[in-house]
Amino acid sequence: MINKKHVFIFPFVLLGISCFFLDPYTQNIDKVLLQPGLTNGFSYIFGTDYIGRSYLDRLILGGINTIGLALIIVFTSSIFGFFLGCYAAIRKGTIESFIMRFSDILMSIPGILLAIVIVAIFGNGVIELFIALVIVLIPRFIRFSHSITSRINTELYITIAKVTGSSKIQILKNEILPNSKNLLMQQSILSFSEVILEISALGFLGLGIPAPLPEWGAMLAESRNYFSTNPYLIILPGLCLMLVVLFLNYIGENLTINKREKNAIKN
Amino acid sequence: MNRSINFFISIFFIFLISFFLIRLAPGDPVLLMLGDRGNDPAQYRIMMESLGLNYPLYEQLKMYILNIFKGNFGNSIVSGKSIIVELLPRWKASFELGLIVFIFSFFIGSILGIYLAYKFNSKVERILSSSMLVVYCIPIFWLGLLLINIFSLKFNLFPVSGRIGYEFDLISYTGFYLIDSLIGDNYKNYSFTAFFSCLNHMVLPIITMSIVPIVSIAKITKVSILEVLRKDYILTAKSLGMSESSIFFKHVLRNILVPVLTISSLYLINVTVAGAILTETIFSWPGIGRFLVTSVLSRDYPVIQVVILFIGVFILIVNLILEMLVKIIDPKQRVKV
Repeated sequence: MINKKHVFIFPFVLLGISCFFLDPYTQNIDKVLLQPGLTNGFSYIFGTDYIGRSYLDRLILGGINTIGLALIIVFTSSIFGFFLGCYAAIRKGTIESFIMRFSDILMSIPGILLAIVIVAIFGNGVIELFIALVIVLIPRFIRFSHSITSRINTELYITIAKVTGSSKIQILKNEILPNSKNLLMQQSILSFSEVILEISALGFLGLGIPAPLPEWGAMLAESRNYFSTNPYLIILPGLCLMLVVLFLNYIGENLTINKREKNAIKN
Repeated sequence: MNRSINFFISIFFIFLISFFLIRLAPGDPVLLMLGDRGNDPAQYRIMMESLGLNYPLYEQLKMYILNIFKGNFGNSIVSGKSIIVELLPRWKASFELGLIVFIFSFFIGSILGIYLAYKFNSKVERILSSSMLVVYCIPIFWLGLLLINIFSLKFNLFPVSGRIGYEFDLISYTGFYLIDSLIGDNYKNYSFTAFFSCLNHMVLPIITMSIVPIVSIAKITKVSILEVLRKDYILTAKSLGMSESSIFFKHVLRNILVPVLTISSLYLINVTVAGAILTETIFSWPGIGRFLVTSVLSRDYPVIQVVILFIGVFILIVNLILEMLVKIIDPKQRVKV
């Protein structure tokens, strides 16, 4: 799990708190495309964008929007996916094959394509984006928890629990959940980074979080034309995005996972 | 048997998705296409009939599927042309790029993976592996923008967008520019210059698209080689005095080939299709991904329908072919237990 090494998350929490004092919307026509630097005061330390909005404020709030939305998406889909997958693995029979086949079909379509289709159906918006990415993510969690649960289900301690008269819900709570929670955590963190990339990719295509709200991908798209004169407009949002994804991948790959769980995922 | 039932269910599901695309969209689909205000009722009826919306739902579905099997895909709302006429050249453009990315990333990735596995725990391996993690985290649309600005605008090495220089007017034989530029009148007119212009336009999109697959395939290859190297038969081969290279070709390569091929090819298809959407948008590559994005932005529902159908069915068919190929290659799967 997350250990003392990861204390450096706190600066980011502070950044999050600071969002109440930020102003990403005010357009200063006399301050269009300011270069980054301290000469214009702290709130313009990263310069301004093409209509004079403070880039620092937009970067921070863009990050909070993307990461917050991704967090909600991963949380929702991991819970639903986990329970559907466990349910399928425990119930077996037609329900299992129906759920698994359905998630197989959904997984055969690339995530971003599915998300684009759903956004095309329901239109742009935060809630539409949420629905789209939850639909993209749920099958992965279903498959993941299904494979773990059906592995654990053959273990001796499950048989013992059954013999001693535990109900299915008790088995789920006392045996399966503790044995799969670290793996689920790792999978969630890795999907978290993927969702962040997908949200910003959709934002870049103009299908993500709608316009006045700041978002890294959309910021990249709208400042494409100013790159050759003002490279910071492109470099900063992309760098933020990359660092967040890198950080999440780093945590995800370094989560300590015990041997039994490793065997469960291997087979 | 089970496999083919699964395949047909998936195909049917893709049909359903594309069929319900218009019908699930909020609001009246006819008004969505005609525009909200000041509609002529007669025109409304004509549009409704041309979309087939005046029939019951199961009739509509039947008609939709029948039309598709007849090759009648309908017309685009934006351009008014037949969708299939617009789609085919774009499909070929995407296919040309995608196939090269597929082959390129497969070879570079597996060679890199083999190298990393044999240098395991050395300094070079650790540096390469950690830098691969960093590279893997670069958002590809950002990478594309950076590459354009560094190599196209600063150093003027590669063109910014398009498939071929504007000075070339290729006659289309196959639709694949790399082949077209080498045959017939095109070769007589331009000799190799058209071909090189084509290649030059491809360099940046290929780099952008293949960087993530290369890293993932290298990882898969590395892990599976390390697993094989720990096996007892490798130890036996070593104790028999076989050289490193013959162990590699006779034991390691044969054992990793099938798993690496299966995992990475299934994965590559998805990544190439997903990467194509972003890369084609950045580099204005006239392919199917860009077509999809522009038609989503202009709410051109019939086009979105057909594009989804094409991509979905294409992925399914390729997956099926790959699975069959693996069955042919892998001796373990030939014998039925």
